[in-house]
Amino acid sequence: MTEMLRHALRMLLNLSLLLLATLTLLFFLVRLAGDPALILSGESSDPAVLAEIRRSLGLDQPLYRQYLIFLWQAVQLDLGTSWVSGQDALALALERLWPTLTLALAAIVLHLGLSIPLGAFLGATRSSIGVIGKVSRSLDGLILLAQGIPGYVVALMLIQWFAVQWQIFPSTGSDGVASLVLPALTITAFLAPKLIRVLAVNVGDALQDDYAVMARAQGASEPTVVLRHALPNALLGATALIGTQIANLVNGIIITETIFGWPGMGRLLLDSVLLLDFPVVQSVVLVTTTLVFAANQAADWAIRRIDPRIRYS
Amino acid sequence: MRSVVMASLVALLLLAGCDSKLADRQASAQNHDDVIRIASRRLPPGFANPAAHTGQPAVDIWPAFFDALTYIDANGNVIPWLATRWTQTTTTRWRFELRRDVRFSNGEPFDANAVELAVNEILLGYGARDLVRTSLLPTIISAEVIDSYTIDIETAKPDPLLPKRLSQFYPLPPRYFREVGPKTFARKPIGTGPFIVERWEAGRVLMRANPQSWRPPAVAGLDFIEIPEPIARRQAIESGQVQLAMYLAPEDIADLKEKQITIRQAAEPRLRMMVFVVREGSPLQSRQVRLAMNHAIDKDAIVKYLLSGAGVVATQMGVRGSEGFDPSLKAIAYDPERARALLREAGYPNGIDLEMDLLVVTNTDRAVFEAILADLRDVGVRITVHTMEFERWRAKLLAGDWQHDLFSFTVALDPLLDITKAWQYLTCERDNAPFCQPEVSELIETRARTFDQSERDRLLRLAHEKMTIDPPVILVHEMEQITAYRDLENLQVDNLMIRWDQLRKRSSSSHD
Repeated sequence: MTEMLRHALRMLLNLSLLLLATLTLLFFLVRLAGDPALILSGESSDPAVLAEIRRSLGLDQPLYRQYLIFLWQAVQLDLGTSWVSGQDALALALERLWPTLTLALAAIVLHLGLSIPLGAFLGATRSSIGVIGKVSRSLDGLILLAQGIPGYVVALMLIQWFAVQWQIFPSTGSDGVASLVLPALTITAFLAPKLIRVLAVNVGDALQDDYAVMARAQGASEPTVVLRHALPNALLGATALIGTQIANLVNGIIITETIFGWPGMGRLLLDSVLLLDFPVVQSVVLVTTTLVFAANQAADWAIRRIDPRIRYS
Repeated sequence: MRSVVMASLVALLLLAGCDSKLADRQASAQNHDDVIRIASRRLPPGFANPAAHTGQPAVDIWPAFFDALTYIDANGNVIPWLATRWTQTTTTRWRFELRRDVRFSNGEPFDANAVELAVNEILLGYGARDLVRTSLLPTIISAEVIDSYTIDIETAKPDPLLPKRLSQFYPLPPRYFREVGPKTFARKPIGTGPFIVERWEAGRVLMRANPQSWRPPAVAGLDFIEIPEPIARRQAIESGQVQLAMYLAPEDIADLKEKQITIRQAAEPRLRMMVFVVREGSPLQSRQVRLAMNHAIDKDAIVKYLLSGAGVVATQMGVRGSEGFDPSLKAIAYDPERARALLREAGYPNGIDLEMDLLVVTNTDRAVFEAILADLRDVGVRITVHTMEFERWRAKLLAGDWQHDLFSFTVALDPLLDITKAWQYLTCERDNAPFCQPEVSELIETRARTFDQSERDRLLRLAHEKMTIDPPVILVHEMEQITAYRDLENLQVDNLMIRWDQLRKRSSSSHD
């Protein structure tokens, strides 16, 4: 219990440091991107108008003072109001959290549901001959090819086939589970090839290990050797990758949300960056950083569940 | 690992459950056959905050539920809307008479108090540093209610364009606005228009008909879905998921027509040009060089082949429908031989080398500028290009901070269709004007203070004449807005604004 408590406290400290570092870096980076007063003033280049806008946003203050005010407000979870919409910036980010989480979870489930069996199959049939061997090598080639196709190309191809030609799934909006399929598939296509290939190698190696040889000697069938002995060990090696992939999901989600018109945080981030709406950019990054941190912690937790030898230390 | 997968599945099902509840709610609005689904390029990031936006994307959606005092029709004429007539009582004071048969969708009457509140809040109150005030209506200083349906508006200096400027100024319902404040109003707006906003969600706006509107709609509702990618908007209309897709690319026209999807090309008040930055010692000081560059570009080919006909060759610093547009003016003819001769006359028989700041946003932009550069190279004008992102380009435009010989400029003349808008960036009164022509600047400045229309036209004609022989820019083409629709009829687009009240589902017997 004490060990768990210590772990929780360390986790909180890590999260605080991570947020401080991220928000500090972001604070200075976004201010290099341009002058928001120029955006907010429209076509007016009247210096008095620009000065008034800067004053009302606090941008006329020395940078160190802006930073200290920002930090003090961030500690109180007050990231200000959007300079474009006048709405609470953190509330805007949290409003978009739900659609993003829905899409991310759907993608993760699809990703794991597809990658684990495929990786196991490819690993187990790597040196097979006959039809199975041919299928395995063809699949391996296709997956290698898929790894090189950019996410937005996959998205447009999926829309063309599934939405335009066959009209099976919608390509836009967020109306229930059907509209999740194509965006989730796009993200899966972005993540799955790498995991499948790593798993295939891990399973192939595990099948050569002594415990697999022993299992076969004891009369276990090949599927049993793969599923009960080789795959769990192969997954152990791949769990860290899965954790990293979940953290990297953010990249795929920004592209996917834009193409599919999915109303998540990625789109909000992109719009806010273009409009130099600093409070909203900072809010989205705060929420995203926390999510990525949580995803990494979840991956750590999963590794510990799979391999009890790993402890909090 | 199994527990991770199980936990994910449970969470997904929970999320999907909630999501499908949301979908059920949305479906309730869409169950009507005559709800129109629209693929919109972008929803206003400030939601329906009437102080925050002018032009796109607000004009794509706000006129469905807001009405302004005036309206600019497809020919650029300002016509009565919530104001039935207006007169100028002094050079800085205007009197507006208002419609008497209008109510806001919450039942509040529309009257002079609604206009006064809008002036006090949007321009002088909470919106004093927002876009509508700073760039559309900077001149208004007060409003005075004369009676329930008459209001006087005072400007700080004479402003002949005031009635046009009010075409994107939306009155506020006094009781509701005071009750909820600007923040809630932006998310739950109340207007006098043909639709009522039911929900403004992230990436989506659902509206239902306002049958009590003074311009009642012909359908039960509108469902705007934000789809930023043009190709995805095109796919959405192809698949039938939406009935109307806005702002498509020129290359989509032929394909969509083949698929029996109707295309509507409407004049978009955008003008593409390249502006000369004339400095001491630059070859561009020579009038012949600037004229030669205008003769060198085959603009007809650009419009025909690169824009698939979605545009027209520019003849002046304005677009069709803008006030003072002269249809008799001709574009500077494509004549590469004349261009070479002019360069020789100017003392550059071996051509010249220039540098250009280029803003490229779309694939079409890229293709058009590649063609322009190739044409210029063909007559001996070799241009090194420096591409830049929008924010940097815009900061340079506002500051006049140009280091190179030319810059690309697509000027948006909306919302006012003000033909002299582009001149604002060229006038000698600006610091660092790219090219100062004192005579032309004087003509344009005088015109801005002149109320008499025939005198305004005469001054503009003189400016155009001067510009034709001594060009400050290379005019390329006017743009067109491409809208695709299916199963709909009666689509009318005026100065970017779709008349949402007139749009209706196509009956089985009718043909567009």
